[in-house]
Formats: sequence, structure tokens, C-alpha cells
Amino acid sequence: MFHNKLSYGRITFLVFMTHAIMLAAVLFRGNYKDITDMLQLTTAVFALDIVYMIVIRFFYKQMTYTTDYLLLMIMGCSVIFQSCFGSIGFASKHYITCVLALVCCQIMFLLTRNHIRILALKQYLYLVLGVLVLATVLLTGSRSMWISIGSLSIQPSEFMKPVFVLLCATSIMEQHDKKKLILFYVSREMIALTIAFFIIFVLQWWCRDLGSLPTFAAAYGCAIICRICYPRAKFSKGTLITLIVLGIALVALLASAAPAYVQDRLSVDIWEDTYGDGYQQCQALMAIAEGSLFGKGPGYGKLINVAAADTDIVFSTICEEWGFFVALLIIFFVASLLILPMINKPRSYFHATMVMSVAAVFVVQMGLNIFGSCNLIPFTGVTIPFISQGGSSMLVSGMLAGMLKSGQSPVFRRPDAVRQNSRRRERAA
Amino acid sequence: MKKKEDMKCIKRGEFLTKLLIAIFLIGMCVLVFKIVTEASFYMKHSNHVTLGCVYDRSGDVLFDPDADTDTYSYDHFVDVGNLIGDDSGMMTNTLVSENRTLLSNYNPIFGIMEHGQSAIYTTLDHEANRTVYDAFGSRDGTAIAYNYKTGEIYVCVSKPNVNVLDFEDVDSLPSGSLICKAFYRTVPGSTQKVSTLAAAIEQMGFETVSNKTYSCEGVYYNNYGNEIDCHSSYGHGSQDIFRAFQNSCNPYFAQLVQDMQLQPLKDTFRNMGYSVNNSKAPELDIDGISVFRGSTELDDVNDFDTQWGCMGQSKTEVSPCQLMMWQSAVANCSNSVTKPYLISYVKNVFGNEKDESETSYESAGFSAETAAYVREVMLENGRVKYNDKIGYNIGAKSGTAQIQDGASENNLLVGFVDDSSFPIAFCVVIEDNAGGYLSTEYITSTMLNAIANE
Amino acid sequence: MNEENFRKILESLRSFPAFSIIMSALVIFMVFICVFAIFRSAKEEKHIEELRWDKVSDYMELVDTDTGERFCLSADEVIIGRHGAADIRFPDMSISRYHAVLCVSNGVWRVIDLGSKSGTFVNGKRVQEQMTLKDCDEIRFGTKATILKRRRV
Repeated sequence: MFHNKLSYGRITFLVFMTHAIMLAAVLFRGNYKDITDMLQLTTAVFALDIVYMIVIRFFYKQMTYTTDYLLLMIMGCSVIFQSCFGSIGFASKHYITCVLALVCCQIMFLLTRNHIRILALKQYLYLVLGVLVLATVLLTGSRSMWISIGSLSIQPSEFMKPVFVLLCATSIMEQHDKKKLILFYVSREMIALTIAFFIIFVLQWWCRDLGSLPTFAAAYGCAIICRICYPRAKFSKGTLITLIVLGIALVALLASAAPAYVQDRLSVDIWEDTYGDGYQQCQALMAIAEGSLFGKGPGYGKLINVAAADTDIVFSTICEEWGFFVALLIIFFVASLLILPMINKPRSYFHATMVMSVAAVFVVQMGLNIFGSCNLIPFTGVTIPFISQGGSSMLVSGMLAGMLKSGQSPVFRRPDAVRQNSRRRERAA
Repeated sequence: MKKKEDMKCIKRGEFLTKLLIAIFLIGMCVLVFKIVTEASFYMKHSNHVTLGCVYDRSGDVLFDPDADTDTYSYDHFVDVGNLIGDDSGMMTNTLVSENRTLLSNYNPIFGIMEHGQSAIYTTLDHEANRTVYDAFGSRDGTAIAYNYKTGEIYVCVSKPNVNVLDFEDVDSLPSGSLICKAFYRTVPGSTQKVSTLAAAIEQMGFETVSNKTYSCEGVYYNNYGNEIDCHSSYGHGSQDIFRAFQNSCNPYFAQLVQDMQLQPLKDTFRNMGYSVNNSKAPELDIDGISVFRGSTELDDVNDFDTQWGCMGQSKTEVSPCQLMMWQSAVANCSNSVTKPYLISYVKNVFGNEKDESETSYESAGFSAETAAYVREVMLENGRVKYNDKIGYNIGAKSGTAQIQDGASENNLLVGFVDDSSFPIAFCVVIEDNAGGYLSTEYITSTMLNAIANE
Repeated sequence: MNEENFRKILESLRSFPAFSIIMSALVIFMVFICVFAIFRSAKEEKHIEELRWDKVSDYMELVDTDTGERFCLSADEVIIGRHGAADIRFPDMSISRYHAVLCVSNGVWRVIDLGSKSGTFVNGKRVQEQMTLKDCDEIRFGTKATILKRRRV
């Protein structure tokens, strides 16, 4: 492996400082009864910083560390945000999921950094997807997305996201033998991917949870667009426009055929029904207006009494307590996570597709959450990556971040060592 | 050498990512724009924002969001309850409910400010209000008075009223408690004759009107043979406009209406703000409180209903506030009405004062000459009938409105004080006062004295 | 410091609206500084990454024998063809739209023929499916001759 010889002292210091300043803002503006309430939070955030930095720098060899630092900063801020909702107290559950998400990130990174290996494992990905689908169908109670194990509840459909992103990225293998089918050149893999998407679609329809469907659709759409440009496609603007028109027609058709509860969501005027269907959104919008640019101060928010204040309408909760400017930072965080792979560009088609699909998932999730809670688009129950509370979604966000990381620190090595050895001998000679 | 060029698929992926981020950022811009423009709308629905106080002209509190009986006497707010309103959301069309934005401790930049200093300073005189309210005794009704030169409302009382300190069950309140009657429709009775007179002068000129004499025999049969009763069964004999106005003689006015042409009559009434035959009247609001103007139906000058309509019965309805506003044009000998207002100045959340008092005018619907002649007639009426009782030099017109098909009678008095140093126009309504238990003159003199004592 | 005094100071500070501005501005400023520092480090990493890619790709580049034009090979899969979407594009009619792919792993380049009509040749030998390449191998796509060369460092 490769160890770059850069020093990361400056950004280590700055990440610490950022967390310190945010904690200072909590200290000065926050709503706490006892100053010791803050102590636990401070310790936890700094402990995570220190431990993660040590682990990353000394036990891990990779090309780029910037994603890790950015991720660490986001996690710290997320823990601080979540700890302040309503009143200041340490959000231990969220903290644990953050730590687990960082672990997931590393696992996913190790798994996907060598694309040759993951391409070889492709059929297992379909297997995993199948298992997840079956788990959703069989294990969850009456047509829902949740499996409850004791006090834990897991949403298997969330875990389909990284699997589906990997499927999109691995659909590159058989690009060379495409066959023409009606209008398009398709390969077996594209058909398999389309079937996988269709199964997910049907599953979500059946579970009456169409909220995360756009996430899959975005990843799928990006993969398709990237793939039809790959060898042997008679790629033209006509094809692209045909596809887009077909997509829009399909969406329109689905919207008109959607079940009643979706139709209600599409047409509801929230201010007509401030205590009914529009309650969450109305409260969310009011909270944004109440907090205005600089917020009421951490812990002074009242939106926490509304359902899903720390997940679906988390943007408004942060707006209320920290102000609109700080809330916009969330977008800045996730956007910078997506900009990093543009600086350190991926070196393979696999990683390029993967990074793009992850970006699509992140952007669509943020868009659905923020615009949905602010009534620009129908309200759906999706989460903001890293900021919203929630075990499954946090772990999945961690995994996706791991994929972003692997796009920047890839490994190009074939598993067969024989050739490598022969090559070495050759060079020695 | 092409060294730094990236491979095309990688570029394509990057382009798609950028496109997605760009779409998202455009969405964010839309969101920012939406929130900036709609924030005040959202705040109207918010119940987390604290409200400031409303004060009268001398600094007495008229509304306090934290009011309770420990800090205020039990009936402190009772005289202005349905005018000022409260923050419970039960009352609409009140000063507080329509000016929440001004009163809320909220700033678009800093958001909610718990200890903001927002306040509204009104032109009302709480002391005078209470005196007038008490003067009504057991009777219901309304009284409104304002400065016809500047437009400041001094007194606006409506009874029955709401005690915001002791207000839980809406259903248990007597009917009419939740609205300030000065701003709502009432049957004007003979006070309508002021409008009819103005319309007649506008149409025929004062010379013609003052030369007209009609006789009254206690009852008059109009061109269609309908019977118009006079309240004096003996009749008033032959009289000119001055006498007829003092007598409030119905046969005289029926004949006057009969001599007018329908279209100009309708036009004048429309210009004055009436909704004639369901036409749309221009909207009137006083600091956000919407006020009814007037409505009447005029079909045929020879018709019974039209004639009674011009004498304030039949289908004619006017708000006391509008009756008072016409008096400002009459008193000022002007072709424009002084618009009344309630808010003198406001303090924003940081305690900075902003002047809201601005005298504005609107067209009266009749000319300045007409106003001058009407003023003469009214002053003559005041001199003969009211000046001694009230103690001020006033021009006035009384009215008795039969409501519920004559089951009950309201007494009205509209007028103005002819004194440039005490320019008050007023309108008093006492409801269900058939026995004359309480006189409008008493209320008026109490009100004028209370205002003068300030 | 006495906690009660501290609270009193805080209370008085909070009554100034400017205090919330300053705190928010500090947080935002710090986050921006931090993210931009991370971006700067990412740029430094980019440089290191390029050096490392040189190692992975064994400093190889593709040289057009006719024109002497040099194409850098900056991904582990490089598509050669006549189509606009190909990574290295030769507008030569003897070349198929998607002609061949150059792949690298462990510093070893291989050429994979994508079933081209006119064939791919390495040192005159037709590539059946794929073939490993060495420094200074001549690769011919149809009639287009190129050389895989190690860059002089």
C-alpha cells in the first residue's frame, strides 16, 4: 500500500477548532440547566475526533485522507446538532450510530477500493439484494419497511441503496457484448439492473413507501445515462432525449396511477389543514421563520415536539435553533463531500460510476428532505445523510461515504499474484 | 502533450454530478427566496411569538398578552374588548388580530425576540371610552367619535362587549359581543335623510331644494298610492327643507325623492360609498379592520320601498362609522371625507418608533357646495334641538330605526361639533330604546365632555 | 470562575442581538476555513495521487507513429475508437467505433480487442482476445499504428 507523505496537522487542528467553536456557541447561547450537561457532549465529540484521527493516520494506509477528515467534521457537527434539539443533553444513541457509520465507511472502503475484486463478486451483490428484498417482504410486519428486533428497528430497504449503487457501478463488465433490442443496445447486465430496479420499485409500492424511490431512480438513471455512452451504444442526443421523454411520461403515468395516499400528498394545501396533514410542514416552515437568520439558540427550539423533528424535518429544527445560515452549512458539508472526488478524480469507470451514483443518492435525499419539509415538493419521509437521526440511514450514509472515499484511493491490483511475481522477475532481469 | 486530460466516461460522470448539484442549488435558491418572501405569512400562523402591548393616547394599556386580574382591574378592558381584540384567535377583524405583524416581537433578521419592545400606540382615549361605556348603563349600542380634521378616532365603544380577562366560552356571550358594532351594518333610520338631502342638493341645486315646500298631513299617499306615515299623526303642515329636516318629516322626504331622477340619485349614493342594488361598494378598512359602508336598493323614485330606503328604512343599511365619516365632509365643507385611523404610532421590536398617523382623505361623493348647504341645514337643526341639551354647538341629525319589522327601535344621532378647536364628528346608536329610556343626547354630551376633558 | 457570575454575563450578552450574529458568524467562518483547508489538502493529495498513478501505469503513454501525438493513459481502462465517446479518438475509417480497450493492473498494460472489423495488431500479431503489452510495443488499430512507450522521467 501507499502512504502519502503529506502532513495533516493543519486540518486536524482546524477540525478540532471547528468543533470547539460550535461547542462554544452551545455554551454561550445554549439552553442548559447545568454546565455539566455540556461536559459529556464535549468529551464525546473530542474523543471521537482523537480516536478516529489516530486510527486513520497510524493504522491505515491510503491515498487520500481528506474525505475522512470531512466526514469526521460532519459527524461531530451532527452529534452537536442532535444533542441540542429541545434542550442540551448528550444524544448518545445518535453518537453510537455515528461511530458505527464511520466503521461502516471503512468496511465499505476496503471492500470497494479494488474494483477488480468487487467486479468478481458481482453475482453475490444480486444475492444480497435478493436477501434484503425477501427480508423486507417476509420479516417486516404488515406491508411496512421496518423489522423490529427488540428495541431496535432496522429498515432493510435502506441497505438496498449501497447494494444498488454497487450494482449500477458493476454493470460495466459485459458492456462489450451488447445486443440490439428494439431501439437500444443493451447488455445482460443492463437488463439485470433494470429488473433489480423494477423489483425495488414494486417492493416500495407494495410497502406504501414511495419516499426513497426517487433515490434509487436517480442512481439508476445516472447509471443508464453513463452506460448508454459506453462501447457499442449508438449514443446520440436523440437516444438521450427519447429516454428522458420516456422517463417523464413514466413518472406522469405513475403519478396519475399512484395510490390515494400519494395523490393526497401531491395535491394537499398545507395551510388549509394546519393541524391535519400539513401539520409537520406548517410547523417546519414556521420554525424556519421563527429562527430566522441567526436562530433562537441551541436548545431553545420548540419544533422538537413535532413528530420526526430530528429526522424528516431536521433542516427546520436546525434552522430554528441555529439559524438559517448555519443550517445552510449542512448543504455545504454534503456538497463538499461530493466535490472532493472531483478534485481527486477516480481512475476507473467503475469508480466514476460509483461516485456519481453516490452523489445522486445524496443529492436526491437532501433535496427530498429539505424541499419536502419546506413544501416545495410533496413531503416524503427521507433523511438527510449524516444529519438526521436514524440507525439504518446513518449506517447506509457511512457506507456510501466509504464508496466516495474508495473512488479517491483506489487500488489497481489483480487478485492473481502469479502474474505479479512473473512481472517482478522480469523487471529484476 | 495532452497530459491532464481525463477519460471521457469519468468526465461524463463528473458532469452528471455537477448537474445534479446545480439543480439542487437552484432548488435551494428557490427555497431561500420562498422563505424570505413568505416568512411573515408563516409567522401569522405561529403561536410561539410573543405580542407587545397596545396603548391608548395617554399610555394606558388597552391590550396586554399577559393580562390577568392580578395586574388589571376586572373590567379594565371591557370597553374596548371587541375593538382591540386579543391573541386567542377567537375574535377576528380586531386591531390585534389584523395587526399581528406590527405587534409581534419578531424581526425578519433576528427571528423571534422574547423580550422585544413591539407596541402599538392608538389614538383612542381609554378614559373617555370607559365613561361612554358606563353611560350606556343597561342599554346596548355603539358610539364612535373622531377628529374630523385629522382622522384620529377618540372613542369607539360597542356594547355588549367582551371582557378579555374573563372570556372562556364564546357561546355564553350575548349576541353581538364579539364584533365592534360601529363597523358593522345597522339600520340608519332618519339619519339617512342627511344622505338623501345631499343627493337632492347635488341633483337639483340648493336653490331649488330650499324653494321647495311640501305639506304634511300626517300621512301621504305617493304617486303609486302607497301610504307614507309621518311619525306625527297631526302632520307638520307646509314646510321647507329646514323645518322638514328638524321635524324629520317622512311625507316631505317622500315627495322630495319623488321629484328626483332615479339615475343621478343612484350615482350620488354610489359615489358616497353605498352599494346600490347590490353593486360593489369600495372597500373600507381602518388599520386593517374592515368596515361595512352602506347598502340600499333604489328601483323607482315613485316606489314605496325606494322612498323608505331614502329615509333609512326598507333595505337600507349603513355602518355608524360611515355615517360619522360623511359628517367630516359636511363639517369641513369639503368634497372629501377624512378617513379615520386608530394607530398613532408603533414601536418595533427594538423600541424604535415609527409614525403611522397620517390624515388621508377619500371622495365624499358630493361637492363642497353641497356639503356647505347640508352643514347649514344640520347646524340649524342642532341649534334648534340639541345645543342646549348637549352643551356644544353641533350640527346633527337624529334617527329612529325600526328593526325586526318594527318589533324594536334603535335611536341614532349623527353629527359634528362646529368648533375648529374641537373638531369632533360622532355617531351614537342606542339599541332597543323604544321607551326613550336613554337619550342619545345624553350619551353624546357625555362623550364630548369626556373627550374635551382629556 | 463562579458559575453564577458566568451565567449573569451570558444573560446580559444574550440580550444583544449582535451576540447571536457574532456566534453564528464565528461558526460559519470556522466551518468555511476548515472545509477550504480540506480542499487545499485535497489538491496536495491530487499531486501525490498523480505521482502514484504514474507508478501504477508504469509511466506509459500511447504515441501516434504518424503524427507523434502523445496520449496520456489516465484511467485503468482506455477505450480507443472512432466514436466521439471513445477516450482516445482516431478519426480513421479503418478503425471501428469502439475498437479496443487498453487496461492496466499492477503496472501491466493489456490490450483487449472489442471485436473490431479490421483487427488490432501488436508487433504485427493479431490480438485474438487480449494481449499483454511491454514498453515500445507497436499497436496497430486497423491501419493506425501507435506505440506504447514509457515516458522519460
